Amino acid sequence: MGASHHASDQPEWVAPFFESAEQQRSAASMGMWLFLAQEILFFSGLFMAYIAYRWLYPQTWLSGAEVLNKWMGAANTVVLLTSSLTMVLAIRDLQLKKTVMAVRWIWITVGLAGMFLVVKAFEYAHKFHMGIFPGSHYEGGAVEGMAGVFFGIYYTATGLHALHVVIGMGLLGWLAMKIRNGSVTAENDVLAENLGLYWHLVDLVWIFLFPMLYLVK
Amino acid sequence: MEILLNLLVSFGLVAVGICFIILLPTVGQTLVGVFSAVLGEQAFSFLKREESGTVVRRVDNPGPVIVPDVEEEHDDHHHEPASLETYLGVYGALLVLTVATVGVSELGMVQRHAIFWALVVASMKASLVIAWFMHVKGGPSSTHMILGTSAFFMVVFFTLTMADLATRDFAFAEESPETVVKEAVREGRTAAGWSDYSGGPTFISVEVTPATAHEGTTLTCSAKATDLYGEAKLVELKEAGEINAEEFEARRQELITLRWSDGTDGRKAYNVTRFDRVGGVVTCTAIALDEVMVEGSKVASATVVETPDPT
Repeated sequence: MGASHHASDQPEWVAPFFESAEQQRSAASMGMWLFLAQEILFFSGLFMAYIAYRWLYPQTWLSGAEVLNKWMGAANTVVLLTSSLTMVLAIRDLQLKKTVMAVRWIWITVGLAGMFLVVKAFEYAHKFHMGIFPGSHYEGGAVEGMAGVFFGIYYTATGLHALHVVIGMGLLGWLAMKIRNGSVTAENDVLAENLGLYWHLVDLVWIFLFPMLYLVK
Repeated sequence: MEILLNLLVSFGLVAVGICFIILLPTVGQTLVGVFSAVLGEQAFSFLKREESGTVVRRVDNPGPVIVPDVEEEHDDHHHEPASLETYLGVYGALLVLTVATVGVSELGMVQRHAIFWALVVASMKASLVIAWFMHVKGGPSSTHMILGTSAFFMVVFFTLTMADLATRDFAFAEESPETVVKEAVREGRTAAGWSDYSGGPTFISVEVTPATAHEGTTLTCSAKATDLYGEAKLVELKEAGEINAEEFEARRQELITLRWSDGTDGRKAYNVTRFDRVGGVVTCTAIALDEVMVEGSKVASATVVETPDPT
């Protein structure tokens, strides 16, 4: 029984080189998890840099963390957790064939992501105002010690995370359009699930960044 | 539930590994961390009225046997989406844990305890997101394999790097702290700040009492040193005029065990005082160093003018 024998039985969105829709789905899902595994190790490099530099510059870490506003960080945590919820609700409604609701939840998720970036922009603006610029542009003389080391880690970690948020917003907008024009459906929903996984990973990274940067002084 | 247990164990291992190696807490603390993760899982299972994965059972009473639904594997229509209540329950738990971790940070714990609890709560939140939002719980075994492998290599990466950090002299520290202290004292060297460039210890006073003295009077030198965040440490050295090397060394050894009050805990402070006597002037010098200090520290001094014996 070759693939050609099966081809006519399969929906048109199943690629000819897959035996079944289920095989296509599990292959796509596994590929996404491999990407996520790479992302986990990518971010763990940043976390390791945080640990190593905190170890070397303990007092500088304390004076640097004093500048951060924990309530803004907490607010952004709630925003991102809520966006994770709206994301699973979007996929749930898609699978229950409530397409309009699914699209609505996705746009709410994108809106929450935008809200996260707005809060982040206020935080960055506050630091720029103090002369705390990234890298060699650092002029934060008002902060005790060599806090440029702390803020180097801070900008790299939160900046890469924010980049993930921006990319996620674009991908989710694309997903909303694909659901609306019917190329992602309750049966063929693996793209929605994979982008959901991506979005939860963005949330996961923030779950660790928030206490490490804002809370532990 | 088995998957959740594995997740908790792997994230628990990361948290425990970080805490145990970098922060050197007691074994008790690491056990508390593991137990709190297990208890959290059981509490959540109880609330969800599901079988807990962490309940220890006797071998002859293995509990309900879960037969994997083989049919579902080949069914084109994959399993039903989770219930709304499950998602809202997980979301509620995440919000509660967020409030908890901010609340704990307000308690003003010493740093290593604060780091420990922050990581325990973050690991619990991560486990909830991974298990329910990312559908790892009840997901295919390939997912568990990939996630487990990346978690394993993350632990390897952290453990080996931290072991390296913990066992090396820092690259920029040319000499061991003890040598630095001895040489700084011998040479009467002054230097600038902590090696982490945070500005170092601040001496708020160095005092020699009594203010006037004569031959045979016991002079006491007190130095109070403080760092950026801590309260002052008081250091006293009694001296009867000439420098007494033996007492000086004993005193130095004792002072080496002092810790700064900012709770960094791993960073030792070396507070040393000494007398110099030139003619009628006695000078007291205090030096403080941290563990990774390159060059000495700030030095303050006070002088006492000897007056003739009134008799």
